[in-house]
Amino acid sequence: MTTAHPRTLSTLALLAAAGLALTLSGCGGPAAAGEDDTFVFATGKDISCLDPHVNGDMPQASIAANYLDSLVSQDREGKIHPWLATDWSVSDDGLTYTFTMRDDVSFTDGTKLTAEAVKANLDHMVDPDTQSGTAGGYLKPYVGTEVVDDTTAVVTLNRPYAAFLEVLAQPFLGIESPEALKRPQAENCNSPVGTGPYRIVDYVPQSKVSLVRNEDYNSAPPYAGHEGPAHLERIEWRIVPEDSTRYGLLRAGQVDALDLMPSVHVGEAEADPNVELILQDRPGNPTNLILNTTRAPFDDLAVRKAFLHSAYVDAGIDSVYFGTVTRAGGPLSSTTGFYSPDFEHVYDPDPDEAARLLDEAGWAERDDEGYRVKDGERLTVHFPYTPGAWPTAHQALVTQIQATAKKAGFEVLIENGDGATVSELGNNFAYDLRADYWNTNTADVLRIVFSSEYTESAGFVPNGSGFRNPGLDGILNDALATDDPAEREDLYYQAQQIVSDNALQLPLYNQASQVALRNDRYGNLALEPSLSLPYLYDVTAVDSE
Amino acid sequence: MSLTLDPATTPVDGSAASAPSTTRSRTSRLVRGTPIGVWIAAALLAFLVLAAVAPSVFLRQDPFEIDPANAFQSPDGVHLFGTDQNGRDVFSRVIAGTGQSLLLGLAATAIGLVLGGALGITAGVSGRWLDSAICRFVEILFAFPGLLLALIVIAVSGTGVVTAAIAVGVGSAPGYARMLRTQTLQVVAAPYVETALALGRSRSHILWHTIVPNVARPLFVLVTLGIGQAIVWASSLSFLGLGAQPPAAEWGAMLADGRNYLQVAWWIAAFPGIFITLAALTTTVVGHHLQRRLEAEV
Repeated sequence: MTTAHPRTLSTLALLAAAGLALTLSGCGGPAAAGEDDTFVFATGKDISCLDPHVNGDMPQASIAANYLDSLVSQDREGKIHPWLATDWSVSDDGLTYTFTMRDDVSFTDGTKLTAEAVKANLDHMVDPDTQSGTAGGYLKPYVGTEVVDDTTAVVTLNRPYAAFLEVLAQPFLGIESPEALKRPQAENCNSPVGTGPYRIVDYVPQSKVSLVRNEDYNSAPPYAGHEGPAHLERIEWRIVPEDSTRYGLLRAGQVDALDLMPSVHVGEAEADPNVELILQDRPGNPTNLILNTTRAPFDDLAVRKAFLHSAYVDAGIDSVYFGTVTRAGGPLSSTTGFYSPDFEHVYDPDPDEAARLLDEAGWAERDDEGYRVKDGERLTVHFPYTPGAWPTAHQALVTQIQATAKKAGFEVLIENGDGATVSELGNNFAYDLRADYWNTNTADVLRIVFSSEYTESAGFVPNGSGFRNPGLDGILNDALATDDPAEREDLYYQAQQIVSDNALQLPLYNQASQVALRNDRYGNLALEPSLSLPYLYDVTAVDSE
Repeated sequence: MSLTLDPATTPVDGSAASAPSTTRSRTSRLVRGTPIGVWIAAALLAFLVLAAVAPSVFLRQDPFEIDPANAFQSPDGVHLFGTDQNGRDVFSRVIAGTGQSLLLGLAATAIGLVLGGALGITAGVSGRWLDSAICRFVEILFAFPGLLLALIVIAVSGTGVVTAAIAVGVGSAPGYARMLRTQTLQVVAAPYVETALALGRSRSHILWHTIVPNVARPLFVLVTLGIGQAIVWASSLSFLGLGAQPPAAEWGAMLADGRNYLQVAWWIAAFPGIFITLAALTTTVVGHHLQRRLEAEV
């Protein structure tokens, strides 16, 4: 869910894929999609591995929501409900969870779902070889699972973890066939097996994933609109990174739905009677630029604060996002539990304050090009960046931040590189700025993005600031150990305060699901509640209604 | 490398004496025999060169000054080419990018020529064994399309303007190597080389004073033709995000920036695109004309 992880494809490959899509858009009539009952979904970001346990980026969770079920489910209000587990109990000390599993569910490879699957999956997520930054990251308190009988699994944790059930509800922690997990990782990445409404039949990396309906599906979550098999027989999940191409395909009728709806076309899509927009802010840590505190110049708090005060973000959100995203100024997205609005305007643009802070920090002089210098060193900020991994508007926004930071005397070097290169730099703290976000359904995101526990790489480094603060660590762990909402509210307020005071991130805007659907053909595309990902199980063809 | 050619000191072959002798008749013939299209191309090329050498003549706004409130303005009197997604003046950026694009084209061509020249001339003057070794090597490089070769260089050495120039240079080197080898073989077989040999000149003297100047003669044409191609390749690399880095005003990078706004703000991509085309077209037209001139003279 952060963005800095190993991706095998380069910018070039992204463009090649886009070029292919462009070619496709050039030929064929408008009614190409849907004719043979194949629902075509165009996603904007490449999928590194179809198994969401590995690494853990949003596109993986997005597709996983359609072929994996989870142990428990979460509704829009945040309440936890049964799913593959029919029931569970938590010990008084919060360290032991006993799950009762359904006994009438099978994986699409024929393996029967038993308590053994809980053990195999959780063990797989915490296995260092899995390089599971997201799922494995969430399971740091995990000790082990004891399989009592076919339907009873007892999970032990090493500390109370109030957010445990919430993260279990995310597709990142979806339950896969234990038999399939035994295969080599590369194989499981191409053809993971779940109990979900669809199964994967073909995967062409950087191009498309083909899914067919699981005819025996009997384990729909409580939030679903129906039971039994899905309405649509086939799904083609097409990877189309180029924003304008993806939208063009939707307009031309070659795809039925898309995600990462390009901001520049939202107005046009709103006016189109054949297009339905499904927009929803996501909880978690907002889209941001995180400041690496482990090296100069951002090891100096005053310089970090000056940088934050130098950035004009609102103007960019109005101009290139056309107001389609909501500004975020604090460490939590506004839809996250225990979010406080008090930190939204702490670092509003303030050139005078930025100048004062930099003067005090010793960066008082400027060179010929207007950049600040200290002891002959220029105030340079290295920002490795993969343009292909971000929406077009994001690329423009970072250029604007570069320009406004220059006025304050920062030389921001946007260094374009492919995903693998940027990720490698990210794993070694070899950057000053990193573009990031973290979608999750709990305020515990603060622990993942800012606590010292997450400064090591597991495929990627969740805490890109490298910030280590025992006080903050303690508060965030205390918040997991209590059920008292008032106490948690207080602790998460303190945590937001510490993060804000230390100027660890330049928050930009709330992450949002931005899905567009051709509603002249299909209806009932909903977002699953845990991460607001597109959920195709209930989608129906308009003709058949 | 020297691009100035003096027919008096560089014999082309035995018939060189029949070439027109006075400067005046040469010039007037050049003017009369030149099609109007070439004049237009030459004028445009002169404009590009002027924009590259002295951009301030044309600049009316700071090409890097953002103004989000005025993003996506269509072309008008204030912004001749409109403004981009960050409210920057597209005309200023295109003009500011001319220098970089032309310089990239020149530098890449120079690198390609030096590398290709070293390989080609060495092959041409060497014995059978080294000649065929170099030829096989060049053929292997030929198996890769030039741009792909450039991408390999970028993959190894990282992104940036300097690397892009080297990459495009390396990418074009095999072509130059092959042409220059053929040229060298012709020159080596020419009577004046035999004469030089007969006069007892040393091998290195003959190489540097007789062979290289004569091989270099058609280079002028190759360079003009090559620059156009190099500009397109360098722009391609920047388009892919592998060349100039933001906020650089480089045509390819600007084209890449604008491509996702084509449906709402065509001018962001169109004008850099037009300038890439112009630069490639004008250098190619002028180059072809010079080539025909040269052939007619010979």
